Amino acid sequence: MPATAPIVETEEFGKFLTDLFGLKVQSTEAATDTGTIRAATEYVDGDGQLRGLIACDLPCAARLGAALTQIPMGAVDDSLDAGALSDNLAENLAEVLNIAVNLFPECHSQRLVATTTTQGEEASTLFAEKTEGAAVCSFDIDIQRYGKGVITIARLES
Amino acid sequence: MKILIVDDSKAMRMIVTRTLKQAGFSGHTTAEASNGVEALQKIEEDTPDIVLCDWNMPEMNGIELLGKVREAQHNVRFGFITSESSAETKALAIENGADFVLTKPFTADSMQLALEPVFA
Repeated sequence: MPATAPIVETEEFGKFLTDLFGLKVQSTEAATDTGTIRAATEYVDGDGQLRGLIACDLPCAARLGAALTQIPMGAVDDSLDAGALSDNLAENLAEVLNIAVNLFPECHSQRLVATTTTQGEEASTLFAEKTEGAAVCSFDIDIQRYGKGVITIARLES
Repeated sequence: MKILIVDDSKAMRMIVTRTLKQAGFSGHTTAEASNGVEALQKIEEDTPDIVLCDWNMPEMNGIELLGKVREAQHNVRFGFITSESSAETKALAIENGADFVLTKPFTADSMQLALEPVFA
């Protein structure tokens, strides 16, 4: 398992999501478990070099997607029952993870962009493969009215 | 005032509209476009007063749209609302005639701060 490193401070991370959703988001540090990951987005620099990934377990992915446009909780429950995100939750999650590029400290000094979001068990494998030796941190998040999930951030050295 | 919101994400267009109201900019007419090509057409046809534009979009991105708007000498105020936050990106936007760059995620307060001078 990669070493834990403070890529982003816990409080800053909660504030980031609170600002994005307009809903209170509590965040606490969590242990990283790549096995539960069901969605992962890759971030590349201007040379196309992979610089980081952000990944979520399914509850987190569904809740982030729903909270963005305040979709009713029933849609989250449906996705959790189905074991996969509905199209609108997946679309919203991609937008959340696109904006989350700003969690990487280097985005202020150089251009970083989100590329594809991989879903399902493939996301777990992808994350494990691509973050070997990277700095990784995880957070338990609790979104007002939506509930809890785990999000993991990995930062690769250039 | 007429405000054109340009973003390829329907969710973000909805959030920008909602936050405009929360920031006290209610009572204005808003229209939407999902890429630069569609936006350019709406700028020519509807002559909005302000364009609030994403940076990364299919068909024509935000900086390309701004270039075409300034080239055609459309007298419209133009701001970026984008996940791009590098100093290089912001400088490029201002050099090309943008009035402001607001980084996502934004709040009603940060939107008010960015837009007040433009609305004045």
